[in-house]
Amino acid sequence: MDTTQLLKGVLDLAVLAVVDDDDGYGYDVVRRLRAGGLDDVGDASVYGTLRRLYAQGALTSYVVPSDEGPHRKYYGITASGRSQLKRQREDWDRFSRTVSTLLATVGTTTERGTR
Amino acid sequence: MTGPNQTGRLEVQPDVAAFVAAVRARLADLTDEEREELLGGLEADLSERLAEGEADLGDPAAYAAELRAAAGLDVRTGRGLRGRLAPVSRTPLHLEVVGLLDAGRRRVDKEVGSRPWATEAWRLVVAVRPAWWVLRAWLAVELLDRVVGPAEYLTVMPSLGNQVVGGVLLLAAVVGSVLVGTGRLWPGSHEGTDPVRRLALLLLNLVGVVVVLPVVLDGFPGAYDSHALANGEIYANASSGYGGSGLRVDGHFVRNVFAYDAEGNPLPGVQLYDQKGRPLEVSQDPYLGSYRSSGARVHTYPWFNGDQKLFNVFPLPVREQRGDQPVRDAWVTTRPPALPRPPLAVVPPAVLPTPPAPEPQVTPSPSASVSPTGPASPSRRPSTRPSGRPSARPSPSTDSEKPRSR
Repeated sequence: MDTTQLLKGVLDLAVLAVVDDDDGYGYDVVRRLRAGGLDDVGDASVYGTLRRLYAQGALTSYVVPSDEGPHRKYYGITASGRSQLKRQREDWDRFSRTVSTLLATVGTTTERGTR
Repeated sequence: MTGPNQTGRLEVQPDVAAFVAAVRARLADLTDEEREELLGGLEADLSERLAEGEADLGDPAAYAAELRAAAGLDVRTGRGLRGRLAPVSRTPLHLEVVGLLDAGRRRVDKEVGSRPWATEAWRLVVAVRPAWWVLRAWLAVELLDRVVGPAEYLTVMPSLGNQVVGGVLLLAAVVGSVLVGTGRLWPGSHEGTDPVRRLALLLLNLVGVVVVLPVVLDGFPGAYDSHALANGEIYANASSGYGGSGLRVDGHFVRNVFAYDAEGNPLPGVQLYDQKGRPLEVSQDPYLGSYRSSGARVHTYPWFNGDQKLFNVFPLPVREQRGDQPVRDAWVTTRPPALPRPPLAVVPPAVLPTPPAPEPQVTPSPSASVSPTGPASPSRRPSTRPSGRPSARPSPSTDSEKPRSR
């Protein structure tokens, strides 16, 4: 199964969770997502998601000047972002539980049927 | 909008800058705000990726598409008033062109990068790019010279009739061309800039190589001509045997003849014949027909008697033109041939010795030749050895003629 399709649905949630954990700039968020196991995540997808969440008001952004190279644009979570995260986390928990239960039930049924 | 964005600084690696520019080009349909929001900090992030050892940033088109999709900004959303007011920059054609150009560039890069010798050669090509900037400036001025300058062969230093004007124009053109080359002057371009600029520059360079270069080179005298020009005369050396028959003076072909009456005034339309009544013709070889006259190159054209061309009627009409071949329909062009101005306005009058005894009939002697003293005119006694074969009458061979004319 193409996990990128699954990822799309939960990228908002994942990004919100990472930024809620700590503010970060684009590539930093990508790295933390990958470190968390989402190896396939594309950085452009993450940047786009950050931008969209920012446009929705779920994130704030601020620029941190750097002496060595280009400036970094950091994202932080807003109150609205936090409530969105909370809501989506509950949605996800419910959804994943449902799917897991479904898969488990169907799996046992199938097993029974084959016996 | 090709400047650095607010969150970027200039000490970014060039490939990162190019990549960002390419992505930026694909976001051209977004508002400035949206675009900068998407691109803000991208340079820093990409630099970091490269610093972590990632070899390739990938395809900017795919990257931009992913960025858009994730940000919920579809291509040609046409959102907002801006979208409707500025439809030109939002056409998919615009993005397609950018894509095509970038794809071509990437392909070249890939092909070149996969062969060590090509990489080396390409590096050399890039290094000598400024030479092309100078060359194309020179081509532009030479083209201008060819089109509006005097009808003369082109010279390496474009003259446009005046050495100073040519030099100043060349200098200005070189400066302009270099500014374009470095992207400081329209349509200077690089990956990521407006496709119109890129196309314009591509087209101009292409036209420069494919059209202007041959046209300009054609305006120079050929190697054969150059040699002859350096020697002062084109094909004029009679000993070379080239050019066939025709009036010659000291071994050089005579191109045109200017007759003056005894008072010293020019005589237009004089028919010349030798002592046997044979027409004294200049060479009819078309290559001998062109010569320089007061700074311009002119080509001679014959007089006519019905359909018959007369090369013994002088002066021959001339026409300013570059080529060393007569133009077929020269008389019906906007600039038909015209009688040239004589090299000397007037020449000293000539008189016959007045005999003491009045004689009613004076037999003109051929030795009473008009001898103008100007350097430009054939002042020496012309050793006219007409070896031409006028169609009408037979004539003795040149060899038998020679001792007698001396």
